[in-house]
Amino acid sequence: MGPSEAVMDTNNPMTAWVVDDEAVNRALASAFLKRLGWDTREFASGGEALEASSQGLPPLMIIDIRMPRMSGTDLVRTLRQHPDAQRTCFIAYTAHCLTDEASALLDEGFHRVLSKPVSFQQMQEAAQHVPFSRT
Amino acid sequence: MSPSHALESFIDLECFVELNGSADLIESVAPLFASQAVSWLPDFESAIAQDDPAPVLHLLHQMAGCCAAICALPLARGLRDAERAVLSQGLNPHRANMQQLCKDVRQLNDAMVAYPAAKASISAVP
Repeated sequence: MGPSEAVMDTNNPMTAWVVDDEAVNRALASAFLKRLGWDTREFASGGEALEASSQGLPPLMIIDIRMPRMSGTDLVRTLRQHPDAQRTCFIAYTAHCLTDEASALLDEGFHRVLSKPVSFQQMQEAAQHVPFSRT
Repeated sequence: MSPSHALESFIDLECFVELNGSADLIESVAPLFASQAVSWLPDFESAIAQDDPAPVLHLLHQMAGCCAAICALPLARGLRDAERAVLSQGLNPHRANMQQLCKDVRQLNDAMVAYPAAKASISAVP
């Protein structure tokens, strides 16, 4: 089964999407989230996530920034227009983030920024602060 | 060199355990790393041969991110430094370094692929 083929209920309050073109990074982020009790759905590109968003957005999205074709920033810019966006926590999942870059990502609509490599504790802290609920 | 030692020469296992809680995830990510390396390495070599810096930069970034995620930190640093160097000076002055990085990524991949079997054989010793 491909990364985005699993059927997932986006109304599930404990569903998280992981969007990253790197399979290893997706696997690590998903493993952390599953350990924290989240159901995860993986996407290998921003386009795949955007397509799936027609069925609704989950409460938590972990998004790589530097992806080919559609960057994580472009994806969030587009998803911010989505009716569910106000109830979705967008977390940037990025390599090599300087303070200025982190500020720019927050200005673009991300709620938090995680710099790779991300520890389980960092993911736990970020996921704990998801302030949105579908319940 | 045994496969587990080969892996430890690339990956800081202490850092990996600290980040991930245990070393078990290495076995899950090893086949994913291998599946990516299968396309990275020929694409990287081809882009260098064609003197095309754009895909070289993209692949250096991808490989660096992936190596960082699995705590292959010296290699991740080498790839990042190479990315910056190619970005500022172009590809030509760094061709020899690119070949070495390619060799290192291939060796890391070999060690990743061999690690689960090596670990199982160590565990099987009574």
